[in-house]
Amino acid sequence: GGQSLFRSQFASGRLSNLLKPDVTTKTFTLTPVTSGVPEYFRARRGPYTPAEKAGKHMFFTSTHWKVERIIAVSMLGIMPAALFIQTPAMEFVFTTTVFMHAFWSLDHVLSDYVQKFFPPIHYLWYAISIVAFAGLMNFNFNDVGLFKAIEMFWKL
Amino acid sequence: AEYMGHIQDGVVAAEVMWQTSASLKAGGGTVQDMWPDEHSTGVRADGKFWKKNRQLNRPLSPHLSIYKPQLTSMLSLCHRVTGIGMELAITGTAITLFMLPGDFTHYLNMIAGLSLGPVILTAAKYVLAFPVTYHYINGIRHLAWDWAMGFGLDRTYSSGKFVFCLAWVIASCFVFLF
Repeated sequence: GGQSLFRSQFASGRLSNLLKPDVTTKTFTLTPVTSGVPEYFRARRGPYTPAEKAGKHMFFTSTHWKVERIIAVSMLGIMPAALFIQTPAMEFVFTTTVFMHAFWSLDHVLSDYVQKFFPPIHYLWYAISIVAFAGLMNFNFNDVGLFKAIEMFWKL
Repeated sequence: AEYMGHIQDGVVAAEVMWQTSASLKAGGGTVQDMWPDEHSTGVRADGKFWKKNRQLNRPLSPHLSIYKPQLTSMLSLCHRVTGIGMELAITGTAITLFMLPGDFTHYLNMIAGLSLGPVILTAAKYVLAFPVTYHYINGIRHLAWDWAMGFGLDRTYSSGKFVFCLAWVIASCFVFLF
C-alpha cells in the first residue's frame, strides 16, 4: 500500500517517485464475484481447442472472406456509379451490396466485443438483419426508394 | 531460484499456465495432446483462475489511462465507428419506417415542419456524408492492406493523412455542391 511505498522511496533516495501517482492503489479490478452479474454473462476466455472453435459452416472461413472482399471491391464501383445511374435496378444492387457488407462487418464487430459475453448474439443479429432487409426492400419497392429519399432530404 | 535475472525468495520461479499429461510424460506426446485435460496441472488448468482472481480483488494494470493515441489507431477506430454508425442508422431507419404507419414523405414533411436552421441542416448533412466518404476512402486503404500493399510505417502515416483530408474535402463537396 501507500505508506510502505512512501517509506521505501524516501529511504532509497528516489524522491522523484514520490511525485508520481501511486498506481498500486488504483481502483480498477475485475467485476467482483458478489456483483450480481449472472455467471452466464461473464467473459469466456479460452484456451479453446481447434475442435471447439470449428463450428458447422457451409463455407470455409477463407472462402467467406473472399466473398466479403469481392463485395467490398464491387462497392468501390457501385457507389460512384449510383450518382449517375438512378434506375430501380441500380437502387436494388446498391442497397443489397451495402446491406451485405454491413451485415458481415457488424457480425465481425460482435465477434470481437460481444460474443465472449453472450454467444447467441449472432442469431439475434441475423434476425434483426432479416427484418431490416425486409424494411429496405419495402422502402425501395413500395415507398420512394433510397436515391429519391436522399435527394428529398438533401433539398431540405 | 533465478527468474529473469532476479533472485526471488520463496516465490515460484515461473508459474506455468498448464502442463498437460503429454508434456508430463516422457517424449512430450503429439501436438494434439497439448491442450489442458483432466490430468493437467498448473495455474489455469483447474478452471478456477478467474473466480479466484475476482475474489482476490487485485488492481488491474493501467490500460486506457496510459494509452497514447496515434494516427494509426485513431483512424482505425474512426473506420470502425463510422461503419457501425452507418449500419445502425440504416438498420434503425429501415426497421422504424417498416413498423410505422406513414410513408417516407410524411415523416420528411414532419422534419421540414420543424424549420431547423441552416447550421443544423448543414451539420446533419455532414453527419451523413462524412462517414460514407471516410469509410469508402479508408476502405480502399484497407483493401490495399489485404493485398499486402502499403504496410510500411511511412506509407501508413502518409496514406492515413491523405485519406482523412480527402474524406473531408469530398464530404464538403457533397454537402455544399448538391
